Amino acid sequence: MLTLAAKEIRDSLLTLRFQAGTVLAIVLVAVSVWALADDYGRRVAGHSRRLALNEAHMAEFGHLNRTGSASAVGQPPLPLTAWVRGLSQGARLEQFDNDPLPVLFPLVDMTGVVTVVFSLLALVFTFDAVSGERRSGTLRLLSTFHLSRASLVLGKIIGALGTVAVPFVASWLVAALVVVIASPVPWGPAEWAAAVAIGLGAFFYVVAFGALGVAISTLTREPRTSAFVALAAWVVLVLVIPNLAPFVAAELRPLPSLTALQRQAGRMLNTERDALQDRLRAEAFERLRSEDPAVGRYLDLPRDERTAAVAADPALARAAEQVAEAGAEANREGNRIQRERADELYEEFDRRLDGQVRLARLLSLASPAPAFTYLATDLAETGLRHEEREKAQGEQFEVGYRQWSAAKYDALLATDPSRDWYNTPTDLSDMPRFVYRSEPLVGRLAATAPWFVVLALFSTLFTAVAAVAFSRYDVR
Amino acid sequence: MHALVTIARKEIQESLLSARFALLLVLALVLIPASLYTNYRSYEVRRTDQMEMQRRSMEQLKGLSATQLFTNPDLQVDVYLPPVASSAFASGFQEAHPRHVVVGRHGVEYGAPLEVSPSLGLFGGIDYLFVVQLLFSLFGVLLSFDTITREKEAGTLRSILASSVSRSTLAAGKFLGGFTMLALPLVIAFLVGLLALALAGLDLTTGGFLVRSTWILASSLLYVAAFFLMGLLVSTLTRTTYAALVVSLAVWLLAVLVLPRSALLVARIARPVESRQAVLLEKTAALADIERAKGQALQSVYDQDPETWEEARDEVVAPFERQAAETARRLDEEHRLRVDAQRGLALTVARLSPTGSLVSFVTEMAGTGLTAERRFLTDAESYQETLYRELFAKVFMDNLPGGTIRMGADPSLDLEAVPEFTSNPPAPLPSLRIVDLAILAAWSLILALGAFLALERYDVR
Repeated sequence: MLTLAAKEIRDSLLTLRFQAGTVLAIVLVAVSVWALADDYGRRVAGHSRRLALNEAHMAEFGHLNRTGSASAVGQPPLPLTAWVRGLSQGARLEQFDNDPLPVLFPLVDMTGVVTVVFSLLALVFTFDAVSGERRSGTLRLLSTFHLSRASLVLGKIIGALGTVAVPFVASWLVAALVVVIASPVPWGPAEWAAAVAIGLGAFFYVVAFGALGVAISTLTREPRTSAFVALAAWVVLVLVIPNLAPFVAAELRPLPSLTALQRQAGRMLNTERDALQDRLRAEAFERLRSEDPAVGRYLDLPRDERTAAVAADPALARAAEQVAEAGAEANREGNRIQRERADELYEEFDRRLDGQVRLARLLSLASPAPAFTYLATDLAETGLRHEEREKAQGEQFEVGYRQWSAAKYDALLATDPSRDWYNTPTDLSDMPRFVYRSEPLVGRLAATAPWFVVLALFSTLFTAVAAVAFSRYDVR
Repeated sequence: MHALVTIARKEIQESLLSARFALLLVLALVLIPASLYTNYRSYEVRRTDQMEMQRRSMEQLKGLSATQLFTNPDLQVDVYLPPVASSAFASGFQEAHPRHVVVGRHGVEYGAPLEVSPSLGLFGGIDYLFVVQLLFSLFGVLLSFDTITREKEAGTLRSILASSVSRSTLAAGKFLGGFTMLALPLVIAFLVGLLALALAGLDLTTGGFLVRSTWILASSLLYVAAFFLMGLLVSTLTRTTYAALVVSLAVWLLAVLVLPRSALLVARIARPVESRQAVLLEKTAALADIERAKGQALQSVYDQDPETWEEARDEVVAPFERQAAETARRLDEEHRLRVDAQRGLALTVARLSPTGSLVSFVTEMAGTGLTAERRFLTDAESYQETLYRELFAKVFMDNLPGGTIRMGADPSLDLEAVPEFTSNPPAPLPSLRIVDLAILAAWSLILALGAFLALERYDVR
């Protein structure tokens, strides 16, 4: 079997597809990684400048009122984005850029090169592994050897993969080399480890498509048909399913419009809350009335007479205090209840959004391509997992920030109660800054293990199909 | 003539029964109407949202109390981008574009982008443009890459060429037959899609929708023809089907996936532009300097007799206001010019490939291209000028040295009278990007000529 594989590899090295494919892959990878590395450098410089400008801005005229926007400068670009863009290409992480061009013409990154180019290469290298040999008659010859059909198929797969391995490994070496040479990309051991993991995932991905190509070759008679079926499969697996899945999920698990939600929440926190507060206050006052007749007397007085009456009668003064306290308590209670309701509304929305995203992810697993995309983006921290982490860390920061803000305000107020400290410039050098904490590599690897498994399953499935189909193959 | 028809008919008959055609037809009939329908529905949701947010924004403004007006130095009005029905064809930039723009005292800024489901962020959705751009071009290549080479390999080419059929007739017949098999699924799926839109409630006769659709279909057919011709050319130039496959796939990859996407990278490297936020911070810093100088100048005014400081204030403040407006405008314009230069370069490079031209043309027709974004910004800017006159100029807040703040309003300020934002409705026929159509036509012509020439010089021995 290994001899067969070696023969396959030797034969392929001289073919047009091998040479063209290798050159194409290397050039593509070199150009895209170099461009992304340059882009990374640019973004880091931009980010540093934003930070500096921000600090200067705060030093100039930091009002407690204005720190909100300054604290959300956004996190610095991640070094692995030189290989994997993922969600960072959206308008999300780089606020205020809102550039439409990357949406019309998305950038190429390693994920794109692997999912699109390498899968195509793998298929082109393998689509006629069996049907081509049948055509040229050599298959008949091969089947006379003392090799089981299964070993024959396996030998072919290994041989084909061996051929693809050359442009594959060459490209990854070039990608790594470019990262090393392009100085602004600082990759530490963690990044290199993640890069190796991504490379491994890409390897599994290519194996899957190689096996698919051989499987298709065993299922069709003519190389021409194999080519067509292989390409059709490629279109469906790489182009259609990944883009269709979120669509279908959005139809199956639709979300209410965020605007409608905001409208509802707004109502809850305004008119509904006011009504609730009125009711709670009324209830509280009724209770007080029954306990203390002085309260009743106080409440029955017209408003403009209250101050005078309170000054005259100490019992009324006490009643007034009780009423004020009860009123404030009712207001607080009303606020709390409505706030909870509004939060519940948003949480419900988040739950449904989560459900939709999960469904989209599940549906997309009908193809190996999204599995690899999730793998790569999760390892590079530019994927869906990272989104959630950033949001969670952002929320935590918000809490800490609000505490600092309140404490600062109280401290300032203590020094001079008459000033409007929200609109007075103060020294804000102790303001907490948001720093994104990267997830440790171990965590990321553990999280992406399922994707590796999915890719392995695809490879196994296609190999099995190839083996079974070939065992019934008519070599004539 | 008769030979032409025969050849074409033979091609059609062969393809009609083939798996390729069936698969293409199925994919087209499923994807195009489904995506049109879904994108139209999301347009409807966006439209309702936009109208409501716009109304709410104005209500918020008019409901401001006097104190709130003064104590908010960053008085702003949000202006929302109205979506168009033809966005059903191409989402264009809508997912990245800010949903709204913030109109403030010193100019216009982008607001937060549309909330997009994260999965869509990773993969992007499917729209008509996606299907034509990727699927139809690939199938165009798949249906033509072996049209000549299989005859070469089967030996039948020699006999055809030996007959009285001229080489150019052969090429023309192959093209006619093959292209019909490509155009049919596209046109049928397109019509079914229009039907789906009508069923969804869209009145096809409004807003020049039909005109735009026709142009979109025309450009799509030109685009697909170009790829078919590319496959045909490769087929005439190569000896074996296998070589034809490899070469045409490589060319397809480069033209469809690589070139348009590298265009942006090239533009960013050649014409870098700083981010909007950096400009914003710079603007704020410059305006703060002016504000401080103004405060110093006003100190002497406020120390005077309170009866006279109103007129004195107006006099002192005027040059500072002018300076502030000019600075803001200058910074914005400089940034805008650099952004336009970058975009121009990106588009020029992208359009070298038929895919770039198609994307540019179709998004333009669909009203979701770059000019639509510009038009919205321009509308917002002229609204800002109106608002400045009616609102911002009538409210003031002076930061005096030492931390005191003075504020007030012109008595003629009437919040109820503040005009609402109206954007000009999209023209029934947006500026026809003749250039894009010309590029598509040019590619088809060049490739056709190439194929004819190659066949003429073909050595059958």
